[in-house]
Amino acid sequence: MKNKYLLLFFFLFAQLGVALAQEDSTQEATEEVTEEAAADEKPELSLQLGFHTLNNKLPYLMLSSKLRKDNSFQVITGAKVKVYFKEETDEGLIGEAVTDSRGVAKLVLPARMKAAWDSSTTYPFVAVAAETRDWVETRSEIEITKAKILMDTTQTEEGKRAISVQVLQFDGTEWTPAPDVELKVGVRRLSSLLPVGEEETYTTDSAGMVIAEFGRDSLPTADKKGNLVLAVKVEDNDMFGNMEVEMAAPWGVYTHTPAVASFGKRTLWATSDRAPLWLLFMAAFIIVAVWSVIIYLIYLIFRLKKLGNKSTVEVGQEAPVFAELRES
Amino acid sequence: MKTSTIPTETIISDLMPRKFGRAGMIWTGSLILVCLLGAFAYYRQLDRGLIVTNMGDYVSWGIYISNFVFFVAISLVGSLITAVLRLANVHWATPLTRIAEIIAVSAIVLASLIIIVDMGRPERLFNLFINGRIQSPIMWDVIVITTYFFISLLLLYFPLLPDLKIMIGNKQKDHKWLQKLYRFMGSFWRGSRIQFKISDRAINMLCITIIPVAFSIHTVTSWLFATTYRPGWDSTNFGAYFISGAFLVGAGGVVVAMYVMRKAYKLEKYITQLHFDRMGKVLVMLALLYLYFNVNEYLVPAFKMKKPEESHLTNLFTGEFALMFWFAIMVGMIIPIMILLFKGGRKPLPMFIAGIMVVVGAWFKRYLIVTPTLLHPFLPMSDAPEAHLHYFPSWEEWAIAIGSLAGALLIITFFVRIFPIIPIHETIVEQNEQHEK
Repeated sequence: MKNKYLLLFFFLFAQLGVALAQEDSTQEATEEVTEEAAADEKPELSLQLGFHTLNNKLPYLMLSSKLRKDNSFQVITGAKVKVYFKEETDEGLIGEAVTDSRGVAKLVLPARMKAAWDSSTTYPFVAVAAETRDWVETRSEIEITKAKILMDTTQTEEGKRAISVQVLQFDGTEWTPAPDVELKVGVRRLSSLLPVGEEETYTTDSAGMVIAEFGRDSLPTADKKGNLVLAVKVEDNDMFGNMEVEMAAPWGVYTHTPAVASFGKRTLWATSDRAPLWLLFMAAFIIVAVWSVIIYLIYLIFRLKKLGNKSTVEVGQEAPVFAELRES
Repeated sequence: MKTSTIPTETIISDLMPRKFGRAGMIWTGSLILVCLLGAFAYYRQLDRGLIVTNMGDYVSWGIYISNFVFFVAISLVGSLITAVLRLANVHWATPLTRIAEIIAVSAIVLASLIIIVDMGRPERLFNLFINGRIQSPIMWDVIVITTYFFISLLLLYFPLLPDLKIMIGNKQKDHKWLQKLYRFMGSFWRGSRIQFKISDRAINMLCITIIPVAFSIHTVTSWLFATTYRPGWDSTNFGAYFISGAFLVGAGGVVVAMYVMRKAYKLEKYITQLHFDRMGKVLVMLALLYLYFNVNEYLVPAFKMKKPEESHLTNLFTGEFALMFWFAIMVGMIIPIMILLFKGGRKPLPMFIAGIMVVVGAWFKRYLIVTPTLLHPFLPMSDAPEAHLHYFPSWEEWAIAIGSLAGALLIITFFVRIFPIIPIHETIVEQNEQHEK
């Protein structure tokens, strides 16, 4: 009997040991998985650094930040990103950008960097987003070659209007033609660039040149001299980034667009002070009619109150129900 | 009627407002709790903004506006029971007039409040009055709701004056503050013939005025939708469709209230089988009328199936909202019609069930009028986020919406505690008149 209890005790003890060992190993395994998951859960930020110049003047940088989450890219608002020019030091720091609600930030080169800028032929930029709760430290680098776009109006051999474009790059000593650069040539309209001809894009030849024939006839413009804004655009080029130049040319037709016929008149879609008279009269009539009744009824309450303060002789007999009630 | 044999003193003691019993306390406490939860959710919305809701660029009118339309609809019952039946000289509805009027007042108060809840910046409400455009149906709604509120309040107040005198005379059981309130409201009422003459004239004027105003309030609410060119809303039928639906839900609300009051205060002698039978006939007529408008509203566009309407209608008939749509049609109209068409269905309990069905169905019907259309804009956004394509209210929206419904019930509950829910004086007068005949 005693042996039986001893055996049972050993059996239970052995089971406890096995259970504890299993629990430890499960715990370790869980910790490993959690660590792995934590590492998995913290991705890199997707940083896009873009270099832009307009009319070959002061450049600026555009930064966009996104984060891959739940199998889709989500815009990151308020991401703080430090951007450096040439070297990752305080001197090379252009500034710290904070992304807006579209996940975008803009940085302009400070004036103190003019000397370094002028003396360089290539421009390396580094963007660094420090580690946060949601992402690990992320870097993005681009290197831009100094370049410029020259544009002018010209004529084709057939005597048609055309735009001549030349893209030049600086090789350290002089400006040389930049061949094989894809660019757009167009007319600036309200929200985009209208291509000047059939071609969507052009590519520069060995002389860095493009001649784009102007195939748009009688384009309307609000400028009284008939000026159109012609523009040349290089987009997301690996060497030169984004460049844009503009010039005016009197190739449009001044078109006077009269204001909308109903502008400033009394309409249903005008401002409150220009409501249609018929509507005002109708609304006023209904409001006055109904509210006169309400005001009259409120007056009746006061009249009832006044009558209540007078003696029975003045206001007449009590209604039978109340007389009956009083008697009872 | 059975009341013809009841002594006046018994009528008074039966119809006097009474203190809450145990059930009444639990009921009121529960309503207060739900209201407090709604208030907490609204505090969160005020603190964090409308971001706590699940409304977005597509569904910018969610459960709040559905609730608003529901409240406006149910408030119309004041004009139906009180004004239309009174002007038509229908005396059997006398015990129901005050129930209808308090439902109207409480619903219109909550309709106004829920509009403020829907505003992201409620502290700018005054701008609506300062800078409002008379060209906008929203402005018409503001004007007409304010007007309807005052008329309903007056229509509740004038017939209450003779009862106030009776309550002032009956001091035994009342709290002092109640007596003060009764005196403040009606101590001047002596019950003289001149006073009755003036009061009757006022009530008649109110009954005549409230009908066009009530029609306007819900027609204008329907125009908030119908003046836009959107599938599901672009309809010339919308005013009449809304009015018929409003009368139905209002009458359903009155039936539910009749049953509850009758049970809670043992008013079987005053709200009789006859009242249920007649209200049942009114309700079935209104349900058939609303069903007729629904057939027009859905079958005619479905027959044509214009491209923009197609996705909206298929979504209702067989798509995402099909379950709710057929629930609203079946529970809100068809089953109540089937119950009420038979005499046995117009007894108190089946009527109560039918009334509940009508009210619940009507609430979901309002949700179906507002939300699915918003999910199908004419110019969909490119790459609209997934969250914009579907809408399910957040817990804050549910809490506020349910809190507002509880708020309306709370107003009715407190009113019943303070004032007689069946007009005492009118009941006595009608009984005497019948006795004389």
